[in-house]
Amino acid sequence: MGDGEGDLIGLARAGDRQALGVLVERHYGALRALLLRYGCVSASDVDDLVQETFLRSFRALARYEDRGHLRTWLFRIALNLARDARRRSGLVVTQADVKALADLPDFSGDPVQLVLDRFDGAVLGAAVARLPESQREALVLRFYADLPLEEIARIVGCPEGTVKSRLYYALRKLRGLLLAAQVEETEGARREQQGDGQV
Amino acid sequence: MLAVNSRVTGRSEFTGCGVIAELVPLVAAGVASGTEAAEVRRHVTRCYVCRRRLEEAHLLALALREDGADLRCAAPGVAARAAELLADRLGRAAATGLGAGGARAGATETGAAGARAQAAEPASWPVRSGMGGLAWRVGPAAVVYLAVLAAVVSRLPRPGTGSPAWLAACAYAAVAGVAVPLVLIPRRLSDEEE
Repeated sequence: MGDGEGDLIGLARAGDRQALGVLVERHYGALRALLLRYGCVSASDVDDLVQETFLRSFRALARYEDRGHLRTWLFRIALNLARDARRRSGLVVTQADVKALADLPDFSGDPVQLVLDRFDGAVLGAAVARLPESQREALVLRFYADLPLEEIARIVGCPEGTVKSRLYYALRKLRGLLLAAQVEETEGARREQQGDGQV
Repeated sequence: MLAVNSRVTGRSEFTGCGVIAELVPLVAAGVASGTEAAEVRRHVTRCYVCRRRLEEAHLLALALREDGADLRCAAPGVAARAAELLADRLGRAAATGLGAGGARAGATETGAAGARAQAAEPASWPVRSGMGGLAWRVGPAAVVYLAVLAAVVSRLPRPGTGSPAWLAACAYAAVAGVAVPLVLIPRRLSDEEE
């Protein structure tokens, strides 16, 4: 635990508002990014879910054992809340979706240009939201919460090798999804052009 | 993935493009081991296709990280306001003994409500020690439950020790007095935890 977080937790447990504020500000952004890209809430509702995460965590501060894993604990609670919210909203990736992802074609054009074209956050977010749950979890914890491999393994409760494997498949599928989005976009534009020509 | 790792560890002179292609996403994600990353670096100095593949993977990783950085930036003051609101809600829950239910009831108040909640700002919130609100909720319920159970058992006819009726009464007492609370209390505890 770095930056005197142990002391801050101690103060927060004793009811110190300032310490609580520092802890919240320290982890707020990463929790927000994680929950947004997990695809369980809209941008307007995400702050409520972050608030709920902190509330549940800090209400249980009295039982928290100072083992240097506050961040792990917070993210685990956030992930559980995100899973519940996603289940409630019915946004579940089916087996059919997963099979369809595996059959996607490979990049055929200039790969660097293709990825550069896909930098748009909305497209990226939509593609991330379509990943299978376990892969999406690993991906958002690594890239959106910026957590190291061992911490991700602790949060999701898997060996590090499994997390690596999930990250590998997540990135591979993401690449395929971005390509599919681009192909769709190109075909749509071509159909539009053909329609204009006929008129 | 394990097969790939072992192939790299006990590698031959030149690792094939197939193996490197499987390592590239891990290198871009920053989770490849030192051996794996060195192998990829060595390979791409001689292989144009894999170099492009690595560049592409790095760009995708960069796009994800930049997207993450954008999303981490909440509106100015939101985190500070959330901390204030949180302190108020923690204080209210501890003071009234509402616990999870009471706190959850206010789960949607942010923004203007959060700002209003700051108005009367104490220096700290009341803190309960030890088991917190849980002991207060479970303790009296357990006492009442055991008292009712004892009253019912004391009014039953007393069968001879070792008879089938006596054994049945013992089994009932074990289930009702021990097993049921053992199942229910941990459930309450796990609800509290998460």
